[in-house]
Amino acid sequence: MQLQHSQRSIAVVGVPNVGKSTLFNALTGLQQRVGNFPGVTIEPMVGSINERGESVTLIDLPGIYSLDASSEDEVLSVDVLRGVHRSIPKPDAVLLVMNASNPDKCLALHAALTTLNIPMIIAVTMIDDVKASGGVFDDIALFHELGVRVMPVVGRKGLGVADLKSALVDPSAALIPRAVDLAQTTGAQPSTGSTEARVAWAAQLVGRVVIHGKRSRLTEKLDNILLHPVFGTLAFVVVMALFFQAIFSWSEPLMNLIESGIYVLRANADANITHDVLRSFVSKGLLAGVGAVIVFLPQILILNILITVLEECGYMARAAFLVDRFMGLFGLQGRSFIPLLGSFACAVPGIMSARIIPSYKDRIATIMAAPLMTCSARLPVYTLLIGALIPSAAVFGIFSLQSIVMASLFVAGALSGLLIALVLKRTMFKGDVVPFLIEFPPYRAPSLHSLYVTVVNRTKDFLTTAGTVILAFSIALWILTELPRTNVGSTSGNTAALRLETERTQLDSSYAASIGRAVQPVFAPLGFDWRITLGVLGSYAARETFVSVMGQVYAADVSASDVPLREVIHRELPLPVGLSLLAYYVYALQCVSTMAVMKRETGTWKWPALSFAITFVLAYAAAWLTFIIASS
Amino acid sequence: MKTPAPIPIQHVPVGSSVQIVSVSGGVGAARRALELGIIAGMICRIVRKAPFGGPLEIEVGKTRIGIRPAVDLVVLVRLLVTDAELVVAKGKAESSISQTDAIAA
Repeated sequence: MQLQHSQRSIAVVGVPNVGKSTLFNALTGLQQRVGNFPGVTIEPMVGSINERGESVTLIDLPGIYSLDASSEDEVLSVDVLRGVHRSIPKPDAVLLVMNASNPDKCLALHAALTTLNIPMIIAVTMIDDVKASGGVFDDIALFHELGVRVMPVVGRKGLGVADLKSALVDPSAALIPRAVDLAQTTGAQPSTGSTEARVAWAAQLVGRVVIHGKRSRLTEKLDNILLHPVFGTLAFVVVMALFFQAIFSWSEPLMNLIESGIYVLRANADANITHDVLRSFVSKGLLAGVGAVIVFLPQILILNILITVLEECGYMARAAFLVDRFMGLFGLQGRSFIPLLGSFACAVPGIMSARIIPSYKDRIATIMAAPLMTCSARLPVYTLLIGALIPSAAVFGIFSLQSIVMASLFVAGALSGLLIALVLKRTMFKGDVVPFLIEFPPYRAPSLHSLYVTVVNRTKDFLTTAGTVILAFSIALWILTELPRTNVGSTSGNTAALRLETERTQLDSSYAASIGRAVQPVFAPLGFDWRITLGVLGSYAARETFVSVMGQVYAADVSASDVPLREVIHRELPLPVGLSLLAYYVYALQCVSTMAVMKRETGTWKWPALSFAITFVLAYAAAWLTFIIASS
Repeated sequence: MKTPAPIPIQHVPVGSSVQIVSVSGGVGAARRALELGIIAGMICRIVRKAPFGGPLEIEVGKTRIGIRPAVDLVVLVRLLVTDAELVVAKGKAESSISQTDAIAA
């Protein structure tokens, strides 16, 4: 969504953990997307509100504590608010989101914002929590103190949201706040603009407008367990185990459903389309290519839902606290955990969330480790190959051999990523240990609305990729496999066996095969034949393309023998080659989007180039070793 | 009453209450600490320490913070040994606010 200069824009601002995103979601619903501002490295979410024929654009800026930015994401917020940002115009007004149960820091931010002389509306969230605990939040007194509208909202339940929307579209509702006289508050102290002065002013104002209720002990009690040296560590291991269990096991029924749906569609297409070329296009181009990838939508959704839940309920900050020491072994810090865990979903948002790391060295080291976390695009490849190659035997009665192999691939990737970070911190980024500082938000139930928005937006993203990059690649590959034609016209009306034979001949003499064979010598030491080579090459557009390439090159076998792709690969692919292929995928940085985002976030091609080189060498070496060991 | 020498916050035993004496270090880290409420004069409680020399959890006002000091972030504190001392320190913090209240009014 491009910002229209004619339209009013309002920046949504707040300190971290005030429920800003929940409110933003409640206000804009699905009328939002990642902002597409030219040349902006960090893209804020942009949404719009349409009320009574008026509309206004909302920009959700990253959380800040003051107008002094400490990390990359804060720089964006501060630049936009100051009106010095290159491409995002200065907003017409600010919506300051304030948390009623812990307003000190929000008011300190307010004190900083008053120096900008920008019209403002304040939304107070969690006022229901304060009331429920027997406290009082005097929003009218606060209005008189600050000179701007103070509007209570309960974002999760939608209360007050309509009023806030009306105020946001009304250009006269936002007022320039009264100047804050910090000198008066802090007495004779000269440091008028200092953080201390703002915090002291805020504390004093809170004393006048808020009576804290009985404190909820829930967060404290939960922390006594979840941050306990022994139980907390155990709980962390359980959370992580459940996290990965959910991605693999819970998604299976849904994946099977989609798989059989596509199978039925293909069977129908094969049986009912009489035109040879059209049938081949629908069945082998569209359904075999795109269909093979769509199967993985459930896994990707579950993963993203879980990450949203962990973020929203407040556990992510605790996890960062618990793993800080462990991350220290690799020269990283607790905050690095959040982007790295996110990278298990996808390295692109993972790398973007590395912005929360204030230290440049830690940030780059984390970004370099991120592509080795096993992302959801690798999952289709792993799932296909493990399903085809590893028997589903039980180990010690409870674990399945397939899960163990899958888990070891995850661990191998994660450890290698951390080791790359360690090497960087020992060589290029030598220096003092960086401090760790994180605020623990109170635990709260994740909002269903946020989950809904996550699911809808992720599905859109995924289907867009499947509908563009993968579709285009599938069509290109289909054309390459169908040309030049051999035995044209003889494929219809024959027996299945003869038809399979014809289609194999067609594939063997196609352009696709020529390309695969031309590059194959590079991968010959790893045991890859020309089909695998073609899949690996395709993966450099996006990893999951491997699955669609396999779906396409084995399409004839699949439809002729009436068995899933997995079975065909089980028959066709020798075990050492399969293992070597798995090793290759653990390391290889085969993702254009990841490299592009690395460049954007670091500002130079140096890091993506280095990462590509390191991972290629690792991938090649690991696959080669695996092949040699497995073949002997 | 003699005042003991300030000590780094990570050397204080878990469960003790301390008064923050100074926050220093790199500009970014020290400022973030101030923004979170880790300010000289504030009373804070050491809630727990993560195992194997990991970060501390401290409570300042209504905020709980995970913190691992380093060269770039040094927080010096004064241990408040007795309850009486805690009351006195809290009283001082409050009276300084009520004084400024009086000025504001």
